[in-house]
Amino acid sequence: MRTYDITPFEFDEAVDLQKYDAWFLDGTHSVPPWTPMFGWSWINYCRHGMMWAAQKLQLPTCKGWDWRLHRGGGYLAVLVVDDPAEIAEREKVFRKQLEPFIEDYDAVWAVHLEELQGYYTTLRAFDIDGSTNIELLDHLEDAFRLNKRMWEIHFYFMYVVFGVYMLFEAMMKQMFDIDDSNPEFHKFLTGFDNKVFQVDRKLWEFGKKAEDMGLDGLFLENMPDKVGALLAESEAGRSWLAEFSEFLGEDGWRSQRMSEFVNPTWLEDPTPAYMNVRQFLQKGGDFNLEHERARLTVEREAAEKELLQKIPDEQKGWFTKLLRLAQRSGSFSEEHNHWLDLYTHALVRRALVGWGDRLVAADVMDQVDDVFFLVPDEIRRVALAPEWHDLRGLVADRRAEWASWAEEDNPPMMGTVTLEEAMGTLIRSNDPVVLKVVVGSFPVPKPELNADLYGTCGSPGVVEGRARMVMNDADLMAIEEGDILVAPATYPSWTAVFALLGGVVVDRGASLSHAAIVGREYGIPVVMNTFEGTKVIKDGMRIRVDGNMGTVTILND
Amino acid sequence: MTDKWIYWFEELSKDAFELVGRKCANLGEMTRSGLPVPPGFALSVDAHRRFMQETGAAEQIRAFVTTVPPRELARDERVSQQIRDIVESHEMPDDMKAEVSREYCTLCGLVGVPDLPVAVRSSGATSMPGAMESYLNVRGDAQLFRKIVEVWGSSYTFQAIAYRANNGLSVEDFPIGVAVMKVVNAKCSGVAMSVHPNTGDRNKMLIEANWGLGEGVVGGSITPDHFVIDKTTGEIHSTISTKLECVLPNGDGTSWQPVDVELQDCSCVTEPELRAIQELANRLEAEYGEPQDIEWVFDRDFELPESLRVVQTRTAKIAKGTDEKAQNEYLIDLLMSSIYHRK
Repeated sequence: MRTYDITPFEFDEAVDLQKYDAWFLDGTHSVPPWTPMFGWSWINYCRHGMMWAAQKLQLPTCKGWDWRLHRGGGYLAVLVVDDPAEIAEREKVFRKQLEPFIEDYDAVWAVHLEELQGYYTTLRAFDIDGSTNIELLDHLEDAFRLNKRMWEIHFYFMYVVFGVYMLFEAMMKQMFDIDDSNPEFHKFLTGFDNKVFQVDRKLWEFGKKAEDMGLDGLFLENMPDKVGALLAESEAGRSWLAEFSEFLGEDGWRSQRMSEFVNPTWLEDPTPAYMNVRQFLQKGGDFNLEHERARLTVEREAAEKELLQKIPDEQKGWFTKLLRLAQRSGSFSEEHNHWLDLYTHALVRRALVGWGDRLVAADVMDQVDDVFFLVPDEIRRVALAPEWHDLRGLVADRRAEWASWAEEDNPPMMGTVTLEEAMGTLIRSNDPVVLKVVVGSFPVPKPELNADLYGTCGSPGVVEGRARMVMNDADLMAIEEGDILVAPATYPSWTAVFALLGGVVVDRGASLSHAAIVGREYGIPVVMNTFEGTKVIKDGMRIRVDGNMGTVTILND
Repeated sequence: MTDKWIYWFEELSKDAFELVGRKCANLGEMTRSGLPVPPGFALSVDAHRRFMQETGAAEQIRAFVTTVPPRELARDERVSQQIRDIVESHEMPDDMKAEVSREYCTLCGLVGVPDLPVAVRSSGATSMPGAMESYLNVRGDAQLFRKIVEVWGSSYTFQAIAYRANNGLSVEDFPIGVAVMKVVNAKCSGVAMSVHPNTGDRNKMLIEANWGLGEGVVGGSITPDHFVIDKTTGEIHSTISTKLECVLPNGDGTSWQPVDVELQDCSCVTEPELRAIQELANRLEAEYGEPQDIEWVFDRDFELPESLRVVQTRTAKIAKGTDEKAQNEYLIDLLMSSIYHRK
């Protein structure tokens, strides 16, 4: 199969290294490698959303990122603005664009969230099984349009919100000499209610409910994938299930891997949700998620009060505003995954699975999942007269190639310059998203600490425990109280597991990546950007995670 | 006009800004309070007016300006250059020369150096930072007369004209004062803010410094050494940069010159010197009752504490808006300067 069959954004060494010195692997989202359908959607819509937002906002020193695909990995290059005159022109518009965010962030967010929720309601109401092929094709196009719009809104907010977070970080550093690797720093930003936490809380409450209804044994003694069938056998179980289905109908629009279409959503297969309920039950009677959150809130309020006392009166006005905005940034960083990426991807998946079913029924391919090895043009090609087509050969080739990608890691960077020089270009972009999420800061080995891995601090604290390698959802099952999760990156659907964890080690990510944000919310140490954590650490090893120093030490095999 | 149009700094106070311009009035105020200002004298605003009238320059400029649309006056550098050319085409009248020469001679005698190198600085009644010229290392009568005329001419730079046009001030008739003061034999110089300029934190002060004269710091073409001092604990946070060039006297003027290799990565200010600046900043802030933005220099010809000299002090610009709009504006400024801007 020619790679250009997927998209004109395939990495081409001969051409793509002429304009750009270096391309960075997006290790946070594209490890393990994407399926062709997801890679296609990311490279088209995420790339578009960034450029759209950078242009709409007129971000002074960056026009978004260019993207390429290479063996299922997303590679990015930052479009830096160098001309001082152009920067000055962009800055004028950008300042205006910032005003509404500063004046009333909540109002701006509400308008955009409402817009997306409108699309969600419409798409959810669409009757897939009862639709004609024409209607289903329109529905797929609507889902893609939503995908495109979601990314525009995503970066319109993220570029501003992460900038605000970085400003708060810079001011805290200047005024109090604490930065975001300091435990004190995060006290100001944690303990807020947000959608991700609300979902975790509901899962915890369903655990409590199971206990009250005498169903806890059923959860604890059986594997989560059997729980659904067993619950259906009893009156109490059916009553619990009915309520749980209602919850999933609202909040189950998520699959375990945020940046993929290939995994089932909770609505299709609630096993991961049952696992979360089980894990909360394992925490035992004393654990109270509500109290945990309340404790963080009380801590934050006390810390805030103390902080504001140190600020000179005439500076309190703008500083308080900045603090509030930084707190919103923290909430956005965590909650946007639920409202934007997860929800939209779940709805696109629903439309794609609709086509998968239909193409299998029309004898065009063998499995519903084969649809993820197509690109949209191939669905369009066969949609209205499927009986004239056979996609089996194409799907088989793509599946084979996809499987081969997973055998060898994609390089973290492809380029004609050293990593240091390439980092220089990234820093020149002043792009908050590059610096805080996707690439992060590169770890500095500190031999005097005599550690086995050097990363960066995601969340402070020190912990020892058993390493649990989590390369996919199924691996989450093995996690027990106090374990340390080791993974390429963590995903928003995994948050409830954090309640069980002692600590987290991830290969890639920075201080506003998922693992770091959630780790801080749950108050456990997290080390980011170890690059080789999943290679060096073996499942079952005892390790020490030092979030303060950003190191991991292997204690025994 | 009154007969007296030259004033020694010690004769002036900050209320004299209409008489001699803000910079001279400030230098006078500092001298009177016993602050370490290099010795010197001021030419009053009237001296400039008298020069313009007696030489006919004022009449020529009025005639020229009527031929130019007001908008172009503030925009076109060529137009402002023509006005400056008119001013500079005239010599200072002989009787004025005689008086300047007499005071300059007194200054040379005071320091004990014939043809003492002096700085000739503009001093507008309204502060227009960077809009007008100042000259360093001016020596001897003839050169001094010339540079004073050039400083007068620089009240017609297009930035200065634009400033006046935008602020409803007279575009063509706007005389300024001139300061004539000893040039220090600068080891290093810089700026000090008695309050942290970005954060407005009054417990911290900021110092930036380079080798040589102050133009090498405020000019902004190099990265200076950077110090943040915690006024409560006295702790100093230093960031030492590689300083490849600095501004030094060169013939009749100054120029950027390479810094010796072994000095490039050294802190150009010693800790006792930083303490002296800190003390000075505290004193000035107390004196003026507001945070100050200070230009200072260390003179090689003296020992600490006499070596520290103040060139200028003014109210530091910091955020102090209390209304919503000012706060929002300030936050946007901060975002631009700290996060989204090209470093």
